[in-house]
Amino acid sequence: MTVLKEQSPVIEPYWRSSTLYDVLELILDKGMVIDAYVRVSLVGIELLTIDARIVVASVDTYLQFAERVNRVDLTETKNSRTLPEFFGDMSEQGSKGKSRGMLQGATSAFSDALQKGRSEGDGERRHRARSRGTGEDR
Amino acid sequence: MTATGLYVYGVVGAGHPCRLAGLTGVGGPARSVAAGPVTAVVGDATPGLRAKRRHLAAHHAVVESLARQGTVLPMRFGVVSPDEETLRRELTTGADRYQALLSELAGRVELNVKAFPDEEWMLREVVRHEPTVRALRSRASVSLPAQVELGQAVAAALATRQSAVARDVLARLEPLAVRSQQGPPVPGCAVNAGFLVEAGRAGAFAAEVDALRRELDAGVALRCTGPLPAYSFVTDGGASRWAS
Repeated sequence: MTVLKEQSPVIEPYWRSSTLYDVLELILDKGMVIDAYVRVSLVGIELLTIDARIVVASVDTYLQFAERVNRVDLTETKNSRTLPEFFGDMSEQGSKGKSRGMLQGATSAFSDALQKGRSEGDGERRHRARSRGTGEDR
Repeated sequence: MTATGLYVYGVVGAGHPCRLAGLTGVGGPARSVAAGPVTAVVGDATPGLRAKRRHLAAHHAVVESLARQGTVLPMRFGVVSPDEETLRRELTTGADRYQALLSELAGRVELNVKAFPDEEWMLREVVRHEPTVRALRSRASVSLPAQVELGQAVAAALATRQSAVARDVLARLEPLAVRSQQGPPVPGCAVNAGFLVEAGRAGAFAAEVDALRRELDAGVALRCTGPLPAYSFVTDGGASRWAS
């Protein structure tokens, strides 16, 4: 049995590089902070978080839930109804956006990145997708 | 605010090899500032430093490299000391706490687990099993208030189900960890938790996640990331949060 001393490297065969996608929220919200120190401006990120909360609680979100749940077609229930024109292109958006996240608007890039990450497994491509959520790319 | 000064990546103990060659960081080469038994790894903080992707990646690259070499107290992104003297003073006055924390984390790593229930699958579950949603859904009215009411019922049912997934996952994995810590909310994510695990048991932990993944409903995607620097275990709930 090996006793791990502090100076011995904590390297194991399974250690692999984590992508930014995997750790973004940890880097931004966890980690040590020394209160006396300056924390650099994180305007873009904070806005993203606030927007997410607003969007979650909005009527629009509920309508999207309703629209999507109306589309759910269980084998034993054949009474799934189509939405009236009232919702216009929203239902169209919904039907072609099956893989989209629940959160739209301000957080869609964020959600898309997560969705992408989910479907791509551990691929490095997630890296690129996630970058849209951090306000770089200019 | 203009960020000039020393960008701080993390704090390590005297025994840490602190190999920094090739680590460029957010604003220039990483270097170390030692003060007694503890050493801070720092770099220049360039003006205009913001949470851009490349800066976040650079921060993490330095911290992760330090974690591979030994035990590190990872800083949150964006911590800047006004100058080297302030930093040294902080390291000196906080030395005991740093050392206590370092020895607590020695030989341990963080593993992050996220569970993403598939939305389409969850919606089907909700329609199948929630009487309220079923009733509202089968109403004839397609008025705006009726649809909002349905949407609210769906949102509530989804939240309940997400909590249930979270409970199951945590109950299963917590016994394998020294400690666990709830992570920040991530959209679409039922569980986002950090687990502090003995480095030697990280493989077993990952195997348990695999087992759990096989047992969970097909509608839940489980992701395990790590080993990571112990970001989640150097603040509130993990250990002391410090104010100087």
